[in-house]
Amino acid sequence: MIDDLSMGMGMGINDAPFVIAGRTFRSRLIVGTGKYPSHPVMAQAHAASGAEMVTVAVRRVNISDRSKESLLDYIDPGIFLLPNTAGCYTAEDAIRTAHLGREAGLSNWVKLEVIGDERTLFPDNEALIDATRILVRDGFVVLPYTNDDLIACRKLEDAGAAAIMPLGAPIGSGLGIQNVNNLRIIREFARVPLIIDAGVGTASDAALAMEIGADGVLMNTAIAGAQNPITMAEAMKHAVIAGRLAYLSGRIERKMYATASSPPLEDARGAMSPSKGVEGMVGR
Amino acid sequence: MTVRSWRSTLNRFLRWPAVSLRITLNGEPYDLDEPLSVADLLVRLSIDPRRVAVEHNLVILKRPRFGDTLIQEGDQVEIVNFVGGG
Repeated sequence: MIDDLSMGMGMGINDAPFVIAGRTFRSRLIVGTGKYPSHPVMAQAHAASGAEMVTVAVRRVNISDRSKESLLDYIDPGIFLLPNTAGCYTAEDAIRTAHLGREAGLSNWVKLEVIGDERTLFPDNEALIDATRILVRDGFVVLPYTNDDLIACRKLEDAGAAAIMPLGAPIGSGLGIQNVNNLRIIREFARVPLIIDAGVGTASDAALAMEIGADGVLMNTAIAGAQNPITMAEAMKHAVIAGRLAYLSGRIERKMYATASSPPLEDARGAMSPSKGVEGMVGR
Repeated sequence: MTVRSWRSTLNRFLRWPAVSLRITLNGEPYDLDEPLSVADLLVRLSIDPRRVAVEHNLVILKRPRFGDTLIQEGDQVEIVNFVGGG
């Protein structure tokens, strides 16, 4: 299986495919469907992002106003739907929403959110782990949104999560990855796919997530809330590919001082060169 | 259930005018002329059954059950679908 890194880009690296619970995705970018200026803009942004999986929320149908178009009319049928449990504050509520999402969408996948605080939207990890265990037992493929906390991630894996999705920063904050080291540590220990979910503000944040070694990135507001969601979606596509390639390519070490890229002058000019060690004379 | 079906049979027998029954639909009171199936309710609301999930008295219904699940006085019905989210 060849990943999109080598397909169509003429790259020499054969990446391992991005597989979650036996399902292969060519794109490592997962995007949302919320907060776009319009459904047509969302559809174009999805196409530009190259994403093969999008998140959706489960909500009551508006009974009094049936005129509104269905979101699903604007999602390419080739895109895999990942229902979320956004807005749920208890394990019980999240489990119910997951089951409703399964009936509405006929897939057993769920992006599990159990929120613990309204202002930060930080997850309630205890309830999240409980809900994960129960939903896995009910036959779900559970992708839990969690803190950038190794122990929580490990407990979610033990509970049967198909992937772990720690946050980069609070949902919708656009702050970028706040604790790179935590995510590096989680990367080191993760036994299931690692998807960095939430907090991305711009393309470099997505690239950084991938450079750390995440298997994928999930974002909504960074694209939907951009002045031009369609071109931002394209930027994110490139950022994810670039970050992944950089990760696979093995970056150079960080060093305190300079190391010249060009040969020293005496090598190039032989005996004519000035003496070594003169400041400002070393080629770059 | 038994009492209700007995009552509806009696209503029909006595040709009493249709008694409206009240249910709770998505958290709001909603009136029906007679008990009807979930499938019929969706038709009445112009909702495509393939795109929604329905919870009847706190039990989530499998889609094939829409046709034979009868909604009666006092029932709670929740109809949900997918909306934009992250």
